[in-house]
Amino acid sequence: MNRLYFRKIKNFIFLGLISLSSLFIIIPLSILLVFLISKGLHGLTWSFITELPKPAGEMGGGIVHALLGTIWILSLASFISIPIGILGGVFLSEYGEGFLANTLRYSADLMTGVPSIVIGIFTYALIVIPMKSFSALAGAIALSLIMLPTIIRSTEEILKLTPKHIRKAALALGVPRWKVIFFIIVKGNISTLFTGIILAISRATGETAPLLFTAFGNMYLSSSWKEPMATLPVQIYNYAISPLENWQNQAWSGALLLIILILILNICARLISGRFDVGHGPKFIFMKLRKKWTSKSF
Amino acid sequence: MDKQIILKVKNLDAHFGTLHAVKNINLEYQEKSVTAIIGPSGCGKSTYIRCLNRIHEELPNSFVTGQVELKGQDIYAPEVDPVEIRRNIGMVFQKPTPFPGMSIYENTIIGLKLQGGHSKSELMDIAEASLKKAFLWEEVKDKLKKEGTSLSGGQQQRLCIARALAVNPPLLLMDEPTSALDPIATAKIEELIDELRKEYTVIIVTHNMQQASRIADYTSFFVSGDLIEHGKSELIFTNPTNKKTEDYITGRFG
Amino acid sequence: MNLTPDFLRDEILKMAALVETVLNKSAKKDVTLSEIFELENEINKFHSHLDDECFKYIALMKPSAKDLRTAICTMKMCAELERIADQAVKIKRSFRKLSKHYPILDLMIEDVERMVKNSINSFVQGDIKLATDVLQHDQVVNELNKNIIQNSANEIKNNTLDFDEGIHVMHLARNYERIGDLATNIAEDLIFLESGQDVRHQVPKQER
Repeated sequence: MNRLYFRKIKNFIFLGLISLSSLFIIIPLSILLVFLISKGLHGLTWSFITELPKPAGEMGGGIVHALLGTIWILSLASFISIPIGILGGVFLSEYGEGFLANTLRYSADLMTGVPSIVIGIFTYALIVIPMKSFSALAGAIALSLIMLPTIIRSTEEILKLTPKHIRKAALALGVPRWKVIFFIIVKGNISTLFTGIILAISRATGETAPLLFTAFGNMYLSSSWKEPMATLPVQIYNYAISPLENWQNQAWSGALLLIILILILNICARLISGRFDVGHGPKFIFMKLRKKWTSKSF
Repeated sequence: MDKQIILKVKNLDAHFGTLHAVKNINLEYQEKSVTAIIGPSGCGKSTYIRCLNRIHEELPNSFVTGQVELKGQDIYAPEVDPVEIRRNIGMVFQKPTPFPGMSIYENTIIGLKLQGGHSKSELMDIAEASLKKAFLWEEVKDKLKKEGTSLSGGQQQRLCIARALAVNPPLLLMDEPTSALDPIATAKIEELIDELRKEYTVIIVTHNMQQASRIADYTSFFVSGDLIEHGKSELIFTNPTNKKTEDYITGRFG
Repeated sequence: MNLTPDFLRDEILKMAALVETVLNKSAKKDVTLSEIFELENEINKFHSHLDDECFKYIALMKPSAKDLRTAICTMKMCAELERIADQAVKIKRSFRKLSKHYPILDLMIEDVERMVKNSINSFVQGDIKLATDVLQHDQVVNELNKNIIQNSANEIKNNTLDFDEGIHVMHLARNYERIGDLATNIAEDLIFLESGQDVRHQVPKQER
């Protein structure tokens, strides 16, 4: 009887500690959101989202150039990194033994650890200097260097979740190897892969440091990839360090807009993966991984 | 009833790294019959059957020597494309393998679809015919769009059989198809194999001797890669010629 | 694969029909010995074939419970039916040696033929009651046998019956009594098949 009582107490304490630790995550996030909303919401007007900035000192204006710039540069970066990333991930998952594969895997892991500012400086040296100008292209390349290792590794891990005997069964049907990979394995996991990609994109959305050296920034709307382009993170930075109060307020609104943009991307990711009934989505992946881990321990 | 020989195996050897897994097998298989392969674990039964559709060579460090003639053509001839061969041979594995992310309908016709050359209505007809042959049509006809993985284990296995039948191969290889299933699902699949024997040649690896004696016309007994005995099931299980066979069947060894 | 309990059942019923026929014909004057031989031949073929099928069925299908009892009882009944046919041949041989009709045998012949018919019917219908009736009727047939033998022995002693004729009459009585025993065995097999109970050797033997 005594032992039972003590065990219950221990359980209760443990449960309390776990709940407390989750509060440590929820509380700062809530404070952040509340702060952002309180500071930036009143500036987040339709004109803010659709107008260009007014000259320094004047009231009003917007950041449509940065918003469109972010979208444009992200699209370009995705266009570069998604195909390469998926092919790399496929290579690692399907032909994953051997020197080349291990090198690729190790390199990708290292690259995720490289500080984004270093990537920015690297791209500066590689692209900006020869081009003799800051450009959207350089920005896109820098962002794709950030997205690429993430896409490669997440693609690899997701494809690896498909058990080996599926591949054998597909081969036994008389399907050539490349068709097995693309029309059965990749196609079967397409929504989870998509989720992985969107998460990589949403991470790149907020990168500021690499864009400082590459896309640099622009006060006007730019549509050329050879010229500097404004992006939300950089614009927020510029406004925030300026002495003008108008611009400082716009920095808050811009930050809120950025958060909302990332939130929209994440919601899209969930909706798309949830669209395919049973068998997809982060929850299912988690359950599968948990099954994998617990079965290993038997 | 003169049945033709549809498959001839001549001097087949298979290696797996340093292991000589299958040793000099010579066998012939009649069309429209069921042959079971029995033997203790690790005796090379699965390796052998994977040599018959050239899946074995997909493993690293493996090689095969000898000839396997399907309808007179040696599938190991140098000019032969393994992918083509596998279209003529269906295979079902121990673990049911419906392809993820695909509906029941898509799973059934995927082999055909990737081959190309069929219209949508043709595919629909073939899907229905294959699912009927696999005794699955009645249970899934209202939910063809549902995920293949939403079916029960026994149903998934029948789906895999339907998928193999859709490409209409004359030969069906089954590697312990009922080992992972409960007795009711097993009985359904045995009933199905009994029906399939009228149109297809089936070679089935099983560790369950009772299953072999119930459904197979012929039985082969393997030990450590060697073919110990092969003959009509009614002889193997009532009066085998080799003492090892008798010991295995009566449970004294293996 | 054709090996099912229903298949075995059908085969043994075909064999039983032949046996009833040969038994009936063996007592008829107009049927020749060679006709009886023909029928007996067919019955022997059935015997080997059905035995083999039962054996294969047990070896390959590994039946349990009622299916297993069906297989085993079919094998036993098969043997008993074949022996009845053997007796029919002997009966024909003896009848051929008789110069006239002996009404004393009529009742026994009728009774035994009815016992055989009922034992087979009890199998067809799965009727344990009918089978039990057959078991009990064996006493009557044994009595009849005793009476005929005693009667014939007396008549031979009194010279009212020719010795050779008398011997054949006694043989016939014995043959029919033997058939009665075989029909009883079939009934016991049926009771085992239907209920799983072994009712053999339960009727106490009587002092002679």
